[in-house]
Amino acid sequence: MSTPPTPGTDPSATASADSTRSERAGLIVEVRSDASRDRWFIPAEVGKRVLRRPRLSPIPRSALQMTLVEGQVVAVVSLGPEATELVLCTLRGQQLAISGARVLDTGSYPACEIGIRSPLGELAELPLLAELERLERDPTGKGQQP
Amino acid sequence: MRSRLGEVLERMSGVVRSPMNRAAATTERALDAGQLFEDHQQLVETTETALSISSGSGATATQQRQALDAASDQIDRGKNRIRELRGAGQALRERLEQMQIVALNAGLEGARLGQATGAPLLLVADETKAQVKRALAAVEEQSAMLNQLEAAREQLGEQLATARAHSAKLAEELLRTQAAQRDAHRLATGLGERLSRATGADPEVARSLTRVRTHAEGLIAELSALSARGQPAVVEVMRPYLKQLLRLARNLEQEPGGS
Repeated sequence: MSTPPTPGTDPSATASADSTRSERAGLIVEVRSDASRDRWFIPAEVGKRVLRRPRLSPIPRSALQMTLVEGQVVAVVSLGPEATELVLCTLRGQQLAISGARVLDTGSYPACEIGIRSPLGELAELPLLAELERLERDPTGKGQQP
Repeated sequence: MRSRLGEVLERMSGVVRSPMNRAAATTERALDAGQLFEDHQQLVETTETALSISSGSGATATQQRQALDAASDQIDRGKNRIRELRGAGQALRERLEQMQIVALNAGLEGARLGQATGAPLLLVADETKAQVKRALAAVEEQSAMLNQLEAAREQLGEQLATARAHSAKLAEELLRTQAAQRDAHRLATGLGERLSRATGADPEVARSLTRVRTHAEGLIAELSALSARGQPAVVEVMRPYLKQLLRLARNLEQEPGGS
């Protein structure tokens, strides 16, 4: 699985980029890789619930995985190495889960140009839609990132 | 001053030494045999004492081994207990992580509801998150302490294993020592019989003769010293003993084999 783009590089491609509101509800997640530790904001319109990570199954010829949440098969986008939580999201009217992201906090945060202003600093929204579109163009996830 | 004591002493000395004067070589051999039997008796007693001490050491070594075995069992039980505690800690950590997820979801829902409606939910979520964070830190601390305890237990186990190895070696060496001492005791006992055959002397008689000679020489030496100081009263004190000694000496001279 590829890692998401650098924070704040593509705010137009996020699911919700409405920075006009004074407070924004959502989750703060951390995605770790060997070289970096990026923090992102997932708005409450996208991030619906945090789950203890259920068992994941690979999807053949795809960088996605799948899991069962309350009897529903849900596609899973892996952003990083193993984590104990799964974030259940709704994107373009469909359920999708994120693995490999550690949820640091949830709540309401002051909005800013790129996303939110949190005690951890200004955080951009996780470009989940862009990542999903990239995976749709390149299902195996082995091509170049946008 | 040539006192009566001096005369008595001279006669006594003559009586005691007379067999030696008359059959010096035979008597010397008998006295040597007596000394040999005396030495042999001491040798036998020494080997018996050594055997007794090493038997006691063997018993102590057995007790030590049992104590080390018991300590080793305790350490093994400690290992199981640490494993149980680690399992309990892991279960606690999982429960806390679940509670953390509940608190995260409550926080998300409270934020989604907005400040007016969701504020109480946000408050509870924040408080729960803080408590869970502290509890998880305490669990981590406990886990670290268990790691230290396990390391100390392993080190103790290694040291105990070394002590047990040394104890086993000591017990083995003690067994060999006991076997050697039993051999020495058997040889010493056998030596007495061979000495008896070689010298043709009765061990008891030979030892008695040696003791008589030692006592007689001592008596003569003491009486000579008193005589030199001119103590006539000694004769009165010693008279009953001296008479008895002279009578015994005459009897010995008149017995068959006596000179």
